[in-house]
Amino acid sequence: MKGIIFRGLEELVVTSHDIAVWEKLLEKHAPADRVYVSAKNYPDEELFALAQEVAIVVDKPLPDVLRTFGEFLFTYLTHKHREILDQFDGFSSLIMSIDTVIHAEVAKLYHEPNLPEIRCERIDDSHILMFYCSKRKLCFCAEGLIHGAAEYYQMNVNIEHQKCMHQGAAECTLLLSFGEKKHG
Amino acid sequence: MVKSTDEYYRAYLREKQARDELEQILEEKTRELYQSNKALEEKITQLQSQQAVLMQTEKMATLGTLSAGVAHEINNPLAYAMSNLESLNYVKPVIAELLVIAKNVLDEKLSPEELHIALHRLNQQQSFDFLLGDIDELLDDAQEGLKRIGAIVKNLLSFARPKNNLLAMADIGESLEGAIKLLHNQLKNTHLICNIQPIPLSYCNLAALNQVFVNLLLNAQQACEGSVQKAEIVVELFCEQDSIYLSVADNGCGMSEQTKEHIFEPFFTTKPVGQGTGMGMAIVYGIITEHQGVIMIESAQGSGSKIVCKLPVLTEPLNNI
Repeated sequence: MKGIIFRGLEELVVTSHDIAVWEKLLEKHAPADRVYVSAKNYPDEELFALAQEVAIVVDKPLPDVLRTFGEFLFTYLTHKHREILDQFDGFSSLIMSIDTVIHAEVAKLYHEPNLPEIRCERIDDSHILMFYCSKRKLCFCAEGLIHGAAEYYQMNVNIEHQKCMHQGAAECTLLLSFGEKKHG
Repeated sequence: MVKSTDEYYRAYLREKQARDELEQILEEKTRELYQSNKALEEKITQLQSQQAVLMQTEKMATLGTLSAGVAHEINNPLAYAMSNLESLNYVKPVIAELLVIAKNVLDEKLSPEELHIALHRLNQQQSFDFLLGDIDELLDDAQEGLKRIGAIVKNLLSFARPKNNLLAMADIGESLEGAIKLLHNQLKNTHLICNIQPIPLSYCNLAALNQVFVNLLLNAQQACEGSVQKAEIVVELFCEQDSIYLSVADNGCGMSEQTKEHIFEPFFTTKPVGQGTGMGMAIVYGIITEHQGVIMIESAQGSGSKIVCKLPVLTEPLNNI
């Protein structure tokens, strides 16, 4: 897993809790000299252990923690690479371009990014069917990222996780229903 | 305690800031590197396609050199095939009449006496004994001539076809024999000694190797032109310790040190302006190295040259050919 994801988790823990909490997490689940750097690869197990521990600290189920992390990660990543978002004219355009644009941009920045396979089918103007496949099975984090994107574009999104790799499916199927947020 | 925590947190923020800045620099450099790499890949693709065009151009130039000889090679069998077919044309009325007679007999329109008279008349016109022998000969010779033309055209086509990237387990000897046949006319005044031994099959591109052999043989033949002694070319093909050796030796003019130094460079030629593309040996070098082989040159001015290609016996396909 790329260091930038660990850095996102670090930022989440430090801002929402305390630096001491992050230190404790590191002491427990990472080598003594660990400092996460975006471009480096770190063991997947380290991220899973850290996320699991966060779930214990905040007393929430792991899927919820991963969703929260995904949503935070979207803001964290867009803050670092806002220029990538300039290529999209809205939520739907971004979702439809995850594989062709976002993952292509990631490949320019990081060597061997080991990205998940994501493909999307537009059903109509307010529905997209997304297929997610990764040996890491971080589909809940993907849900959070989608929520983060919806928030960025001032949209409401509902995700129906129709099939899940955690339940033995070969890939996750997510039905995204979305519409503009109503103000006032 | 609070102060100490604050200081600790500020130090953390500074370290984080340093990481962020360094990562930004790294990302910018990585993006530049990615773009340069992409551009380089495009250049390589462009170069590969230009190289393919150059190879084809060189082939066409060689074809130009071969064309007069090939035309002559085709002309001989074509002449007697045509002449035989013309002779058969004279036989046609006799055969047609024989068929009419046969039909009339079947339709019971001819009595045995009439049949006998008709056949006797025909036999006097054109002796059946002569026809029986002649038709066979005419047809066999015409067929043989057309087969020869077919073989020449096949060799020509296999040489002229653009190089594809198809690799196959094949006998390199076949390609060499094809090249020798194609150059039959060019080499007719040369004492050609072939020592072609059976070699194991190897993964190779036969069409590309065919071009190598044609180029080497043509170079050898041209090196012998103008020599006072009888031109002699010795071609050897054999296998030794998992390597296939192909050598072409001539007793021609030989090469100077300068020629040997530059022989594999593109556009280097010792021929007068307007003759030779200067790509022949560069292409030979390219094809042999693509087959993971090496080329060795032994040459002395005035006493001839020997070009040896050493190719490994490949039991698995190479990806880069």
